[in-house]
Amino acid sequence: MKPLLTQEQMMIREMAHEFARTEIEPFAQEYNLKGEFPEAIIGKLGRLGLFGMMVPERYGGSEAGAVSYSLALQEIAYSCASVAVTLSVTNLTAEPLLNFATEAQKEKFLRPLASGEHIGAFALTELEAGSDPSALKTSAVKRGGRYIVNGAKQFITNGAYAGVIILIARTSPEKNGLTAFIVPKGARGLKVGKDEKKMGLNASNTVEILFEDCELPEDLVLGKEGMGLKIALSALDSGRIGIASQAVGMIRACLHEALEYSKERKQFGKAIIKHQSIRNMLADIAVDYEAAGLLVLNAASLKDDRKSLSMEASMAKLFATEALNRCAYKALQVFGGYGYTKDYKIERIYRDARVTTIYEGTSEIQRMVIARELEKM
Amino acid sequence: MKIAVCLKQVPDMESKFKIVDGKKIDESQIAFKINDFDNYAVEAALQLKEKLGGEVVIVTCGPDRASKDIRQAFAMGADWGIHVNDPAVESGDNFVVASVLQKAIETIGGVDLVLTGVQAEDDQAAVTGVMLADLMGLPHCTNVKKLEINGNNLTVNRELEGGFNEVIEMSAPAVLSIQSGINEPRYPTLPGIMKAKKKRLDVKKGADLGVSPKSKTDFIKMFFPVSEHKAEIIQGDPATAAAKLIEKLKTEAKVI
Ligand SMILES: Cc1cc2nc3c(=O)[nH]c(=O)nc-3n(C[C@H](O)[C@H](O)[C@H](O)COP(=O)(O)OP(=O)(O)OC[C@H]3O[C@@H](n4cnc5c(N)ncnc54)[C@H](O)[C@@H]3O)c2cc1C
Repeated sequence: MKPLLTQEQMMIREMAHEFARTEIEPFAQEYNLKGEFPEAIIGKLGRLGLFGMMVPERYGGSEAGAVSYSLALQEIAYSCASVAVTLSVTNLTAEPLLNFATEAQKEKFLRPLASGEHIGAFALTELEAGSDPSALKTSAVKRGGRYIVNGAKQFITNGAYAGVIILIARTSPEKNGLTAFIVPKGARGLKVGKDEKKMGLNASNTVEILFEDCELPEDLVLGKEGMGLKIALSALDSGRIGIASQAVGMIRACLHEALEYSKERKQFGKAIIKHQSIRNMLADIAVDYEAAGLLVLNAASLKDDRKSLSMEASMAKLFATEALNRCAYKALQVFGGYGYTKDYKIERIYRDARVTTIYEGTSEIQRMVIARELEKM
Repeated sequence: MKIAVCLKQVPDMESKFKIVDGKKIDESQIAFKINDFDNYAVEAALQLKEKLGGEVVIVTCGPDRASKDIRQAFAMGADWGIHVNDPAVESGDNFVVASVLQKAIETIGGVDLVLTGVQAEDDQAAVTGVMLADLMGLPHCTNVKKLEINGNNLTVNRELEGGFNEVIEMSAPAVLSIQSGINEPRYPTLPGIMKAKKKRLDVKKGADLGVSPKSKTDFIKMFFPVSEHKAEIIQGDPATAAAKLIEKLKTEAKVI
């Protein structure tokens, strides 16, 4: 059964659909080929209210909710996965600000983000701390009323363009001695390092972020000292809905591309869609699309109902991203050699798909989360 | 300035159409949206409101599902609306719709300008705006590609065949049928969409407006036109092929 959408949710999906097909789709290939960050497109999305979709109106957001967010992200990811991840990370940055910031911090940092003035970034991963964030080393040492931050963050999406970065750093040596900080753009001692040359998502910004004696006044602590890991993990819960939605939108694109091509392309005297092997692949992609879409809608509606969603968000993320990878494989197979060239969108989808089972928790980590929740039952 | 915009909900033209009993379209596979031409009319009205103040009222005849697109116009910035939701009107022709729109607009009171799209994407009749103007006894202009207002004086550019424009001066109140391309319709913002559900939407029946017009046309049947696959490939090198093509366009197709 398809969950019924409200009129607002349908309108938001329609708006995102129109925007993606008119303002993103025609330009996506060029941005990706050049490896250029589509600032103009991102700016427009911000002005339409897509940066703070879970943020209440009183902080400048649209309070559209997680289901609307998922639907919008699916439409955008259909046209460009890079734009979708930029949006997803920005909405993810808004979450800890909403849930843990003081009123003053919300006014100063959440409002401009939610109202579309700038994008956000979330800096957790380090060279030696990937799946295991408790191994992170970036240090924040308290001196007087300030923290002095030193260290390097790896793979930070939006890092070079973000107006605000949520940083998770170590404030004490024990395993969970982590604290979250709000780092405004231009903070002294904050530097943008290496721009990663990636396999895909080439119109998204992934950089190293360096902290060199970066001084942060203590009113930039988010929540309390020692709450860093909790804040990070709660942000990732809803972040996973974002990535799962990105994957669902991309599966839809796989289906569309493969279907259109298989009706046009003729071999052995008939359109290849008439060959049973091709039909089977199309059917498999369509089933994965429906299943992944329902899982993510389920997780998103749990979030809207303020119910616990760790397991469901992980299930949606695991299933949708793994499904996307098999769908991209099949869809490219439908294209034959042409799918292996940059003349066809499927080539980009295939590369963009790969990272979705890795970031915001690898598939292996999602299984860990799911099994941990199962064990509690 | 008080502006009424007539808005119709139409099927998305990318949908797969299936005709049932030669009478109607199977709606189960169809997505509905704002008639594209009306979207330009909404945008034109919103731009006038931003410049001159006033309010924008959406007037729609349609079934329950049409409320989504009235709210879409609210999300873009329209202030309130009237939704005539009446099966008797639904089954009527353009004259019925124009008559009902006239009465609905009368209930708003003090309307300075009525905007419609040039035509609906679905039936492409392009008559409702003209009929409405006649019923209201107001001046009217079709195919409006540009619109300037100075007090009660309207200067409008009317698009003609072959890329020509006619400049017409008229005075408000008036009815204008807006052509696509007159502006760039805005996307509804998310906060706009969230606020749309709180805006006033009056739902009415024809009887509430004191009208029960009769159709002036009979609807006989609906069918897909038979497509004639008539294509001829002209062979030969470019120069002779071009000469042959010109010859055929002159003598056979008689288009040049
Ligand atoms: C394009 C891109 C954008 C990113 N954006 C951000 C960002 O904005 N912010 C941010 O903080 N990070 C970001 N990341 C980092 C990303 O979240 C990490 O890459 C991811 O968490 C995995 O960490 P890792 O790469 O160190 O892999 P590792 O943790 O070293 O994992 C290597 C392999 O070991 C497996 N593994 C690890 N631990 C276990 C275990 N306990 N049980 C079973 N298997 C295990 C993993 O599943 C994986 O297969 C981004 C990464 C990329 C590629």
